[in-house]
Amino acid sequence: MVAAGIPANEPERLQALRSFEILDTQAEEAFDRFTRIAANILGVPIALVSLIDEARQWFKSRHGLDARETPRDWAFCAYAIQGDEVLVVEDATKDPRFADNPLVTGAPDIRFYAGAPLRTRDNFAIGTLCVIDRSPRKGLTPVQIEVLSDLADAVVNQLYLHKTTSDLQKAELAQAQLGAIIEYCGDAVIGKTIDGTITSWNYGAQGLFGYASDEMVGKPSTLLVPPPLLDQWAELVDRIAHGETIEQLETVRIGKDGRSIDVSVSLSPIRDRTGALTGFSTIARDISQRRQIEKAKSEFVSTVSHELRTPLTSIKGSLGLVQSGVFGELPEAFKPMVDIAYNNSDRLVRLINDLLDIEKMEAGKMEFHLGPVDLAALLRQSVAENDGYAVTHNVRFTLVEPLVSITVTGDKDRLLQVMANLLSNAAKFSPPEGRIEVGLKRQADGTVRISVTDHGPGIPESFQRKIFQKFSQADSTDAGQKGGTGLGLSICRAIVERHGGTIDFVTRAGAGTTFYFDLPEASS
Amino acid sequence: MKRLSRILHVEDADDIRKIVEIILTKMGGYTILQCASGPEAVEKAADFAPDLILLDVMMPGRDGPDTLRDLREQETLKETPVVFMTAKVQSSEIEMLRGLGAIDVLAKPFDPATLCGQIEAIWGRYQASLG
Repeated sequence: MVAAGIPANEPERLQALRSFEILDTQAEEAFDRFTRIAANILGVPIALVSLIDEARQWFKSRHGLDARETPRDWAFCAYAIQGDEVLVVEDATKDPRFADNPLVTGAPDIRFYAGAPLRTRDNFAIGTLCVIDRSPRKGLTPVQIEVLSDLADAVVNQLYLHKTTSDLQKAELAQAQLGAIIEYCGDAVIGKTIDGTITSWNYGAQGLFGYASDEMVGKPSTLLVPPPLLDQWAELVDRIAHGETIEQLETVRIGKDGRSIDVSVSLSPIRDRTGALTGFSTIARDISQRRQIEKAKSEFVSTVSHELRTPLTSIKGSLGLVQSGVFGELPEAFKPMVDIAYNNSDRLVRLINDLLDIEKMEAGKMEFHLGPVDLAALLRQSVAENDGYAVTHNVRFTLVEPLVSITVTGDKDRLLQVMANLLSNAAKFSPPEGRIEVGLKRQADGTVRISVTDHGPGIPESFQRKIFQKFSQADSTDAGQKGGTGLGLSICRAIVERHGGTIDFVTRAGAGTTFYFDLPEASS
Repeated sequence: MKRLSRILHVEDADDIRKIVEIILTKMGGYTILQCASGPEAVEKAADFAPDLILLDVMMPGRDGPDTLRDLREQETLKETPVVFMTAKVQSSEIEMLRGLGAIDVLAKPFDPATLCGQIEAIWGRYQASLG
């Protein structure tokens, strides 16, 4: 027995065969029809649709044969796929290629074989339509050869039809799965035409708004929009029509029962294959619970701050009165004690203020009132306002002249807060009689740098990494002496970053530190 | 400019009333009437005829805003300038308080050394606005 060779394009040929996803599938009447016709017309007992796989031939259709497959080495069809014409073997016992083939020497006792290659549209021979007889024959007539070839072409068409049907089924299954995902995903998913008519309404939308799908499909989606918000809605639709996607816009909609619902909506355009806008989809999520939590937290913070400030009012008030001498001069021994108590009550007030600021920052709720700010004027004002620190710590703030008049867009009060922090830190860590320089410089990249330089001990290396973190203070044993809450720089950073800027420092042990922050200059 | 002389202080916390009494009388030299609740203020304000009312915001029962509304219903108190005193300092709340018809808002805790100065400054601005 001489096994047929492997075709030169075997890897591609195998890939072409696999692409039909036909191997090991059930027998189908559509293919059995062809083997039956072949067997009947050509008067043979056996007709097969044979597909040549890597190591076997496998029969999609078998008329007159039980076996489902045989090893490739035994396959007559493996020869047939090497040629373009129908392969005819008149008497297998007399053909050195097949004489001792197990299919010849044993069942099914092949003597006569004729196989027409099954050629795909890109010309790969993936198998044959073949007929087999147990008696030798004197070949086939030209008409019979034509019949076999035509039937082979018809089998190939059937293979393509099978593939398309299979692809369609897969697409339908995938679509059904997608549909189920959208239907049950929990969020409201609503499809609309460009003018806002609802085309699809999922289970989540029913849960959120109370309307069933058949109540909403075909209706205008403006049914869900509270009248005062119709203008906003129209503006959103316009933006989407221009290709924009709206993400997580917090707004209000009305449900079937007329109740207002706090929602977060995301809207995207839907386009067809040509890229033309055909509608848009909305994903809506109920955020009432989150709103309630935020409101409760905000009320809690407000209440706590009030509860803490009220007794502090009494403490600071009474100590302040004693300090003021309104009850008469204090005996010497009392004075430092009263000072300590008063200063610490003041520190508690600042701590509460800082904590509230931090809480607001982290909730994203720090309010900024932005406007044009003249930085030169701001620096002069901050130096004047913080003169108290300079006096207390026996240092001097100096402005590096000339101060260029530069405008930024910012919240003046918050920027003054940053300056107060930086100036008080510089004062605290300066030696007595020390000088602190405050500077303003325009930079090449369109930003403005504000700097505060002290000539104190510098920032220890171990502390440098943590300096902008909450509650970090250079020396905790020192903290009581230096005052401060440990929150100042953390708040400064939040404020500067909200202004679109950056804050940092340079320091040298024993020489001093410069804190600086850069802000984008206001475009004129 | 008319001198600020008579101040009505409405505050439910005893301690704070004691402190403000000393600040306003001993340090500021004002004549003051203390009321421990909104209703007490409504009862006594007209007879006292204050130049200025210092009104605590958080009080049980009728709070500061409620009390302001009640006081405004009396003919002689319709135009009396009112300053809220509050430990609540969310800026949204402060704006709301200004919007209720008070001429200013003072934050608690206040500094005894500067409270009279702050009140005089507020009075000065108010007088100027009367034009």
